[in-house]
Amino acid sequence: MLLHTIIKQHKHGLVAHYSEISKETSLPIILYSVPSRTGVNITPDTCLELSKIPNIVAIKEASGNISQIAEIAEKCGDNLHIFSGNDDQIVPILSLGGLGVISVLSNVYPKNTHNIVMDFFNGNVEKSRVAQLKALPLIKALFCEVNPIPVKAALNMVGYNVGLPRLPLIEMSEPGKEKLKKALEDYNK
Amino acid sequence: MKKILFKGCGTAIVTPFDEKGVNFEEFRKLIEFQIEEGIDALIVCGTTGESSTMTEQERKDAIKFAVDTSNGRVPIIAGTGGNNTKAVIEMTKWAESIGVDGALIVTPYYNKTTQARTCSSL
Repeated sequence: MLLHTIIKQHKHGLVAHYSEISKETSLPIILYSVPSRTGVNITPDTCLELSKIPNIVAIKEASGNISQIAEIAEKCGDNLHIFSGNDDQIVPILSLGGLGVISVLSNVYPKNTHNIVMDFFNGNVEKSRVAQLKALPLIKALFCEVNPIPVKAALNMVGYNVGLPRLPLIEMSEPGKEKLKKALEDYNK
Repeated sequence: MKKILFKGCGTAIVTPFDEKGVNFEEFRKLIEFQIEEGIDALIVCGTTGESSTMTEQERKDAIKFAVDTSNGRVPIIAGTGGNNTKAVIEMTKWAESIGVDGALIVTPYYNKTTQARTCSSL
């Protein structure tokens, strides 16, 4: 009983952080969970708490943990929409009720990435699945160095002039560029 | 049922830089390309947009530029997350005041924090 009380009184920092922010704005808020970068995971229980706040509308889920994403979907339903934060998990997340993706790949291929989602919603799951898998080698190349190093290199390769990433990020390595160039060529075959 | 900000694909758009700072001419080209190709939303100044190595003024300028360039054609979602709750509130309120459609707010990442039931395994 005492232990239970201690747990209950434990300060819920993430909930406090997001609820303070949501009180001060009427903007719709998308939570962003990317534990590989931040070291902080938003658990399904925390999602459920946060989904009770009216203007917290969605989560960009980039944990990569499909079991966790399924649990968030089950617990929160329509009170917390889910966007994939990983380009290689668009179809799996759509199949759990996700609304789409917040994408890096689409910097270079907006239409194709849009189509992965829309084909799924239009009932053409097979087309969506094939397009998801076709993009996989390119997605791997786009994340073979710290994002956004490769995607900036890719945009420069296809004719834009986005410059170099700022320090502490540096220009993509030559072997990385070779790999990326080949992945772009293969994707366009 | 919560508000649906967008359905489909939102691009976490890169921020083009040159030696002077944000390269707005190129940024306009990227935004126009995205809209022409049928993108469903743009997320400006997220991680991919290198918000962590932009000054506050640069972030504001880039977000405002995206809102003005899109001019209502696609939703603009601003990355306003950070380690300092008060600063996140200020940036989010500012973003609201200039007409963004939503805010993408990453968890605190350096100071981190606790969350519900962290200690439930005790």
